[in-house]
Amino acid sequence: MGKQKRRTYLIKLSNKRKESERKINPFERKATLLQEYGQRLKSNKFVDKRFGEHDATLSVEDKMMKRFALERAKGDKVNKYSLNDNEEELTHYGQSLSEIEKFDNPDISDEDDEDQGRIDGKLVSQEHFGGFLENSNYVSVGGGDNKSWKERMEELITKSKKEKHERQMEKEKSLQLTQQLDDDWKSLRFLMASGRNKEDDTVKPKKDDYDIAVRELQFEMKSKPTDRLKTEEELAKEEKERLEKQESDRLKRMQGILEDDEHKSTHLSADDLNDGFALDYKEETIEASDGDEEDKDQQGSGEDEGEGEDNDEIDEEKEETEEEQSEDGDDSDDSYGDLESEDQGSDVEEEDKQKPTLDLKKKKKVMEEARKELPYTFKAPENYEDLLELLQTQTESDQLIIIDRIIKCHHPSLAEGNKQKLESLFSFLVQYYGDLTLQEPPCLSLADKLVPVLYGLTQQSSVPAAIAVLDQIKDRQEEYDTICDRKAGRGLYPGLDTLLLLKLVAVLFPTSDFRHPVTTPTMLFICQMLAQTPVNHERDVAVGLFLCNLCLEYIYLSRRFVPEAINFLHGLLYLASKKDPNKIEPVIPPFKPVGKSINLLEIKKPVKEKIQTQLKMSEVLTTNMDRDALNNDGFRLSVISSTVVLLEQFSAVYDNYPSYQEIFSPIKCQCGKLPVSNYPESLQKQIQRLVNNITDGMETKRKPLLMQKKKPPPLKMFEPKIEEVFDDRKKRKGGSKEINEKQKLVHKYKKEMKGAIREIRKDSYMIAQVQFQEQKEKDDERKRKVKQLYGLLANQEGDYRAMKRNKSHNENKEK
Amino acid sequence: MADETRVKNVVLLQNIKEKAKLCCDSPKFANNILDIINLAQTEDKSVLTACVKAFHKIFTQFIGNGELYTSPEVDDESKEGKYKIWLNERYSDVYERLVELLQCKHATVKELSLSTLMKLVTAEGQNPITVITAKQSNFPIHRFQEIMRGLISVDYNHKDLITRFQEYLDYDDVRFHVLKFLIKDIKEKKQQKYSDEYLNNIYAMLEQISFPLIGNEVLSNCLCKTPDDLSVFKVSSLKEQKKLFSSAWVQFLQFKLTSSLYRSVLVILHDKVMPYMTNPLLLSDFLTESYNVGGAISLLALNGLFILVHKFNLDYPEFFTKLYALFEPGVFHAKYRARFFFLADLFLTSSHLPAYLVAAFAKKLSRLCLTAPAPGLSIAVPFIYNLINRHPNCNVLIHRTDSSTELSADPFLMDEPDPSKCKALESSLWELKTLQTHYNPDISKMANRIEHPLQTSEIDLSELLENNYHQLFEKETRKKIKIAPVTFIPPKGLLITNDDKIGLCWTMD
Repeated sequence: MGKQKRRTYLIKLSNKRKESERKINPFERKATLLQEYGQRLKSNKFVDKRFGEHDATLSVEDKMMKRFALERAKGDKVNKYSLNDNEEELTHYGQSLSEIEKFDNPDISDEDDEDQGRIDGKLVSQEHFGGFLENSNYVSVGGGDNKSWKERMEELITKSKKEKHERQMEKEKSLQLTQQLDDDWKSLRFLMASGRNKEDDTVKPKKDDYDIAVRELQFEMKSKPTDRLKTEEELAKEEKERLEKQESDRLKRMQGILEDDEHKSTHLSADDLNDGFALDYKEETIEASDGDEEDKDQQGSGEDEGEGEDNDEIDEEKEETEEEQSEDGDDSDDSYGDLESEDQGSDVEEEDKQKPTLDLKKKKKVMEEARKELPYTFKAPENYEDLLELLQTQTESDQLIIIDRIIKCHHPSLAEGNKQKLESLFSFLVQYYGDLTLQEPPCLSLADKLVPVLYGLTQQSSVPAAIAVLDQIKDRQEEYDTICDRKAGRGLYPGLDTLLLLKLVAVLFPTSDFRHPVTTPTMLFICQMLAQTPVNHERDVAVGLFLCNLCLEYIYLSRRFVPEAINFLHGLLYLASKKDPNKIEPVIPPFKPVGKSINLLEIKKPVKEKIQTQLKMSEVLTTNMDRDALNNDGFRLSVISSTVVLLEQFSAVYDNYPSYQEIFSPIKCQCGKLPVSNYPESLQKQIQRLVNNITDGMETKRKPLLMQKKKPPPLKMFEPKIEEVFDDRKKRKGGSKEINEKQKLVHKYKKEMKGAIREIRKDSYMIAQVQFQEQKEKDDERKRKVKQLYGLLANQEGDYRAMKRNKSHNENKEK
Repeated sequence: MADETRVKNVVLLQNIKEKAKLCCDSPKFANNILDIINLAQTEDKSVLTACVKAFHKIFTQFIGNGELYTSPEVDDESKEGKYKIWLNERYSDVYERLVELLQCKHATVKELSLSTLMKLVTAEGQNPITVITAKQSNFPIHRFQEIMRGLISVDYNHKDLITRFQEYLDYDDVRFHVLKFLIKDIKEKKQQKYSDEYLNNIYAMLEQISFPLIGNEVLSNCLCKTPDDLSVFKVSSLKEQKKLFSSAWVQFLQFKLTSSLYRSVLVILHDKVMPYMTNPLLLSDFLTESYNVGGAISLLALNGLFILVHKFNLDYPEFFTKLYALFEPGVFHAKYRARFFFLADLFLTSSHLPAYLVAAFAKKLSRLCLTAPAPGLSIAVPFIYNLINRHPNCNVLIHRTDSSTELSADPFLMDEPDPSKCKALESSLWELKTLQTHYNPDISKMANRIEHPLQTSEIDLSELLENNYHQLFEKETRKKIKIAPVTFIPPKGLLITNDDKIGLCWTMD
């Protein structure tokens, strides 16, 4: 109902608007139609073509100014090539003298037709217009009418021939000059772009292709004014700001704010003007964060450029661009193009430049010596085998240098397609990183050093990197799943490569996001392994512990709950505890209440030796490690100690959970069952500390749950529906696009037709009125005249009668 | 050497074929049968195959010809009569050998002899070799029982053979006689010792048995010739067959089953056995017993019990108390998790359940959630939500307005087995509050729902029941990556990052 009403209102409104547009103003009509009507019987009329005469918006002064300007412009057109335009122009009868002089300027027409045309023009100007100017000129120059027509013609011919010759000469000369200019410029240009094009120099002149040069010039980097270099403090401040901003973004993502808001459609109030001034803070945050993303990207590339500074390959280019920049800067400074001053300027610049380049060259030499054996540029590897071939024979540090050089040679700004190359390089490197850890023994140090490289690449192109890493994770997960399927839902812990890949994910991508395309699935994978892999021997214990540790790292910032990790740590304590042989304790899978491995971590004899708190990855986590080597109390104690450390951390992180008590009381209970007396003192203390922490944490009180108070929903109000283009009809849904379009056109045609008819009707009405008025005036006039005549006649008659009466009266009297 | 034996073999096979052919052509060569029987005593696969084929050819023809037919009128002393008796004796020999061959180590030979045996049965069914009265069917019961004895062996697991046998079980008379045999055999074996193989074989056979879907009281799909009047014929009565089926199962379930067999029995019980039984309540003893065992067995027994309670009015005291006891941490890791939650949801659907009971279930399940793996949570959290949704009285669990005092501990008693005494209604679901911070975004979102007023519609559990880690993982990775935020603090190495925790316990050495 309301909608209907609103629509009709809208239609009315729009009709009004439309009509006012379409309807010709009655005054306007009078001005146009009436004029025409009045002139319909006239055979000629006066048209005022003066500029702006019909334009009501211009004031008289403006009109005059414009007219003057136009007149001047007309004059300028002719004087375009005049060098001495500052001279005062002499005029005669409103026409400039110079123009008249130049009338036979040969510049205008083509060479071929010119003879005839010129003569004809001359003839015409002389004969037809009588040419008082020319005539008088000739009179003054030639000294009278002595010359016959023939003579004059001959004179003309010779003159035009002479002029033609002169023109030809001039043309040749200008051609020569441009040639010379080109040559000069070419030599100058090579001076300018001395660095990069040195190799090209030898080739270019042979080709001598002017087009190429022009194109190059067109695409040459245009210099821009650079900002002044920032001081260290400023840089630090900026960095700090950047980090703060990133951190706040991270927090937002952690709470999953962005994600939620994207789906919500906010209700707009009727008063909302949609001008961005409303209190729509959410939208703003989205925009801000988008901006941040971009910022991040920019910063990322900025960093890369920063990195490029100490790079020798790019140095040359940099110099070059700087030089260009400075020269361009000069150009813009003295826009009047004083040649001398420019020369001076560039000289000074060159002197200034000399020093740093020398320094750089020195540096380069040193570096070259250091890396004599390695070439400078490498092709980006097309596939993984290429990369292996490139790296296999090199030492660790050389491998890193090679990778570094590949990356720098293929910086995205250098050429198109480099981005893709780097992206595939990234995926190869991730694979290489995994394979390194599978070596015997694992090359962990190189893998470690690869991390910053991978980080750099990730910063450059985050999405492809995420896809590459995720693909790897997917493969590993699938592998694990197939093992699970084969073994009735029980898996096997993967190799060191997978474990370190999981760690790499945490380094490259933020783990605290509420939902992240890479870290969320990775976390699921970790937990799947923790929940589904049975613990049968020491390596399983170690890998499980590592995964728990990863869990801690993944959730440390966001404080999220990982039941699987807590379960596993609880299970480890169970493995270490003293068990009552008559009672089966409830344990949570993957641990089993009975079996060979349930005493895997139990310490039977008192141990006094010092505990090695940190486990070694290469010893413990590799798939083919020696299990017997770990079958000792030292390893067990390390595991127990690590378990306790991790539990302490988890307990601190989960501090504020309402279910803290329920989560950690089994842990506390299990701690009580540990054969503590057999442990070294430090470990005993550690365990005691954990137990105390848990007891402290349990004392927190809890409130009964309450639902969030719901905000009363705002009253929904109808707001005017605003259509940008209103068609004055209901939008018909359905039908193909063509049909719709056709209908639209038909509708429009009808509308216009009606409008036109209406206008015509109005026109004829007006004319009829005017005619009627005229007729009426005429009639009135006639009536008036008739009346007058009648009056006159009546008077006459009266007079005549009076006279007659008088006469008869007199006669009567006489009788 | 090898070639020689192969050549020999080929010659032998040719020989067998020829002999069989000759034997078929004229009774003169009847003694060929003896030769073939002798040859069939080997272990050689190809020879055995050839022999079995020969047997098939000879005897199907003889049965078809009626040469084996002996009637009391035939004179035993006459030449013809003697021949017939001799032929019948050979037939028995061959039959014996074929049944023996069911134990053979070659799978193909086993299958071939089984199908040959059944073909012989079919042939006999069409052309009986003894006199049959009009009221009886032509089914050679004794011969068939020999086959069954071979199949339901005490020493060998014949699962694959029995699976092949399934095609014959579609015939109503075969099914009837199989059931009859099983009942008799089980009764016999119960007195004696029996092996696991035997049980497996019986189970395999029983598992295969099914009845035609279209409810026709008179069965007429027979392998052998049947008497004209089906109404008095026991074989063709569906009721009779069902009776036999029930008693066979009941007898079978009285054995002490191995745990794997026990589980598989429970798995098929509710949809392959119960619908065909005359009185499923006969299973109630077995099911209640299984339900009391605990663990996975209980979970599985739940389904059958439910059908009994639901459709056959079984009065089961303390059903919910026992169901309550089944809610333990292992539930999330059990293989039959989906089935359990499906059933539990079904049991708790009724809106007539008392609030304390539903609250107890909700609270206990939410407590279990604290140790549950992610896929389990993706079922359990909506499950709890549905419970509260269905029973508005349980709203206090997530929205308590009457008391604002802080509690030092949860009033809920986790270890109390009786749901009426566990004080669940005094508690709140703090566990769900905790799960709001779960690492999986979907679970976290789901747990967040308790913060907002309940929705009118329930969450559909059926899609979630089969959830596992792989599916959760797939769900996260399926979407195309559009933005991938990255870390912003450059690392110097794998462990040299800002918030590294691995360094707590590990070194890169």
